[in-house]
Amino acid sequence: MTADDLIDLVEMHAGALTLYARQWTDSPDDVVQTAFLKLVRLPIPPDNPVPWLYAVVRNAARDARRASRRRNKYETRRAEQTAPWFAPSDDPTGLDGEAATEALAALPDDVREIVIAHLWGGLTFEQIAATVGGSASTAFRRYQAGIAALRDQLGVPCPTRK
Amino acid sequence: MTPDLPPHGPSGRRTPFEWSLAALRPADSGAERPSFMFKAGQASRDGEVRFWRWAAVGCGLLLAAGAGAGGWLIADATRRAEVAEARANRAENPTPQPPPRSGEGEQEQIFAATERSGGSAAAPFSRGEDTPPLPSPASAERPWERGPGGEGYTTPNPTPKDIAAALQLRRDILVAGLGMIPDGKLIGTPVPTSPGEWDRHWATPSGVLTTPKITPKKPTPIADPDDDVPPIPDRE
Repeated sequence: MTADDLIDLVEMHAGALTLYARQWTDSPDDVVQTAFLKLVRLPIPPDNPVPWLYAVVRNAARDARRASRRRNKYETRRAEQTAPWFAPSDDPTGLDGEAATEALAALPDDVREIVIAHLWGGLTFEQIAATVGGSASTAFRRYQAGIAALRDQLGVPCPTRK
Repeated sequence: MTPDLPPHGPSGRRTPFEWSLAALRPADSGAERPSFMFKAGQASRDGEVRFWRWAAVGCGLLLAAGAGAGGWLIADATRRAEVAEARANRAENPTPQPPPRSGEGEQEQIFAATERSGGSAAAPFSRGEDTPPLPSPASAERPWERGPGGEGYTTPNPTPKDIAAALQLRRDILVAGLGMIPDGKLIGTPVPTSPGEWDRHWATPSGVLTTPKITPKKPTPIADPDDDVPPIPDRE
């Protein structure tokens, strides 16, 4: 992997990977950075590095969450709630970042990770199924359930079918 | 930056709510880009550094093995040179050879020692009553034991050390060859010049110290068996 390839990957996917890791750990930057360093150390990089990065970040973030829970349960949860997940939006008509953060945090873990991986990570449902386990159709159903729950949380009416 | 979302679901359509959610930009990661890229560059070289590290260790081991082998070879050559020098010194300054006992040659000395020991099966060459008496060493048949002035080739009163040195020199000659023969700088003693004289001097059987002259024999011609066979007469 060349340095240019690594720079492109970092610029395109570092933010989404950080958001993906933030749902488990209070230090998502370290987890994402470690995942990129692991990718660089591979003698033969994977054909599609993006799903590979999401799988590595997922495992590392969940391990970090378990370790932080063993150390100090309550302080970690407080840190996770205060860190902003989204940058301030310039569009006043768009969704509120803080509200979206609260709505995402309220989702179950398995639903939330699928929503983040698909909406902000750009993974297909097949790739998501390979990362989290299960089938692509199961991943799609959970995604649809997550979108419906977010719509209710944020008060966005469901479009009526004609 | 909103990534290009792949078609999802069976319909492949995306709702406006999903587009609104995707428009939210994730917060920038706190990692400093330059330091991260530096660490990534270091990580990409880890494998290469590890390879050259082990290669250097291997080369070091080979060099150490080569140095050890070279040192051993030098030490071995030095030891051999010292042994050759010691032998050369002994050849140049030999210990005077022990003379035979008064009235006896070397063989008689051995027989006499065997007799004194009582003679046993371990000494099958001991002289018994039926063994014919050995010739007198001072007989005319063995004139080589006397030099031009009759003083003999040996010191008059050899010590056990002299005898041991003479036997050692004889063993060296028989083992290593005629090169071990001293220069013959015995004071006042003539040196045998021909191999036959050395045979007589060391009481060895004839031809031990003499290289027989080998004359190559001409190969005998193989007779043609057809030479003596009469021709077959023609039948009429």
